[in-house]
Amino acid sequence: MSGRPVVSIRDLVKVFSDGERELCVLPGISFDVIETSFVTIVGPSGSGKSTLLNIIAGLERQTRGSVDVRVAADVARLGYVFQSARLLPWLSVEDNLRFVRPADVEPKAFDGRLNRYLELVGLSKVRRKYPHQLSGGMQQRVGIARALSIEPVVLLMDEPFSHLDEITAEQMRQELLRIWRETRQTILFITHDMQEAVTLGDRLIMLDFGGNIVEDLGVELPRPRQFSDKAFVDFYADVVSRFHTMRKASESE
Amino acid sequence: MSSAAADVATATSAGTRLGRAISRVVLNRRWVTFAVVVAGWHLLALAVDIDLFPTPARVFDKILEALAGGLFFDQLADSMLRIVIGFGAGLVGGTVVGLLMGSRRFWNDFFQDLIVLGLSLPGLIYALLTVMIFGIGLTAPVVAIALASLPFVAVNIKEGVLALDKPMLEMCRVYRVGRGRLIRKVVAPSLLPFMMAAIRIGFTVAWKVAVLTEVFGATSGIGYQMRYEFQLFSVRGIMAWALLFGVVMLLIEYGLLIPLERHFGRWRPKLERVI
Repeated sequence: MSGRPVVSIRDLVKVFSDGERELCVLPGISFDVIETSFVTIVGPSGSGKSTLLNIIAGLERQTRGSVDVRVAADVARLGYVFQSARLLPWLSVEDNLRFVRPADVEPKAFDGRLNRYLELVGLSKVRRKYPHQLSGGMQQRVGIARALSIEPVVLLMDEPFSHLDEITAEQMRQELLRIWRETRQTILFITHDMQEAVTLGDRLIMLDFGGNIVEDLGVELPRPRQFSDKAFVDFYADVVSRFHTMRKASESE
Repeated sequence: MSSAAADVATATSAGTRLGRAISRVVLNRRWVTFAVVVAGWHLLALAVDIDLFPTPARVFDKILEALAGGLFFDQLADSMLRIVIGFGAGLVGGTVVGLLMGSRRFWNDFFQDLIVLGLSLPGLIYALLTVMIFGIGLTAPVVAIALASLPFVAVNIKEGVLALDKPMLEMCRVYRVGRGRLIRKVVAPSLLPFMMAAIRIGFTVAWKVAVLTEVFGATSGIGYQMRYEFQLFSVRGIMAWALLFGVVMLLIEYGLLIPLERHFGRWRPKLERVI
């Protein structure tokens, strides 16, 4: 791996406690996210994926360990695309973007960005519409444009396509890859869907049920990645079998 | 709707638009309600045939009288002044209490029982007490109205605070949205429907208490007029003033509250389209 890390995670531990019982979701994991890379983290439900993202985003505090996010203009600017779009229903598409304008960006300059990113996600024509007038896929595109508009050091995505039908989701994945190529935006993408993880990432981190990193693979498959492509199928089969090996190992413990 | 379906809809709607407009006015359920009530009232008045129970036409005469002489508008203005000041105070106080209760455990526990008590106390008690304590003047009705309406505003605002969308607030945190913008663009619009409900309920409570207070301790206002008619033993008079009072309430609902709601609810999906 080459390039500078934008996120460095060292020995990250998260223990939830309700006073009586303790539940460890992240047992001390470490990894770096390199600039312009597309990292997917795949793991079963309850493996601590969302907790990891929330700690990076500052929504939750870790129990131990460190998260360093590269700082730009005094703040670690993070874009976050949630499972549901989380748009303000009473604001138009463009006002939803303006809502997150950082204080150090002039409104005029921000409107320039707004135009650029709405164009990029293909929503220039609906910029004055309200969220309820858009389909689920379009709402999620607004969420992506909003995240990009703050020009984050890293774009965090928490299963952003899991609420969409598969046809729309597949379209969105291709769109996201195009956006990634055009912007060279660093992306940290979380999913429970192994096929999605293999389709998108150029690096795949696999978590087990206990939140341990069991695999950290470079994915050097040609793009676009399709099931008609033998190399893709072989790689995908390999990842799935590694997952099953991991699952059996954890069950036999 | 697909474009073909839309074309068909446009073609048919042109011919029936007038018919639909007519049926909408004639068959509007509210007009039906109104007509049934007036007709029933008229028949009942004829059947009982007591001078004290007048027909709608005779009450209507009395209404015209009150309107023509300008008496109604003078009394309305006096009542309105008390309500605007009293309910204004109740609205501000109730909003503050509601915000505190919704956001701070301590204040919720502190106000909880007082609010329950306030909600259940009859308006008459406020009216009697304030008139006895403050005498005749502006203070008694204003204090009574403020005290009676405050709990209704407070419970609504509290519910609004509790209903704030937590995931949305999380989004605001991730994007480091400033406090001012958060309040203007997230908190205020979220509370707005609750504020409208608070105004609606609080305002009706304010009216009732205003009239009651005026019955006991005022020399003007709609309540005072009611007492005057009562002393004359004029059922006609009381009915006329009650109806005028009702008309004013409806005018405020349709002329002020609903347009306000429409204005602030522009972003909402149209109900017709949803159904």
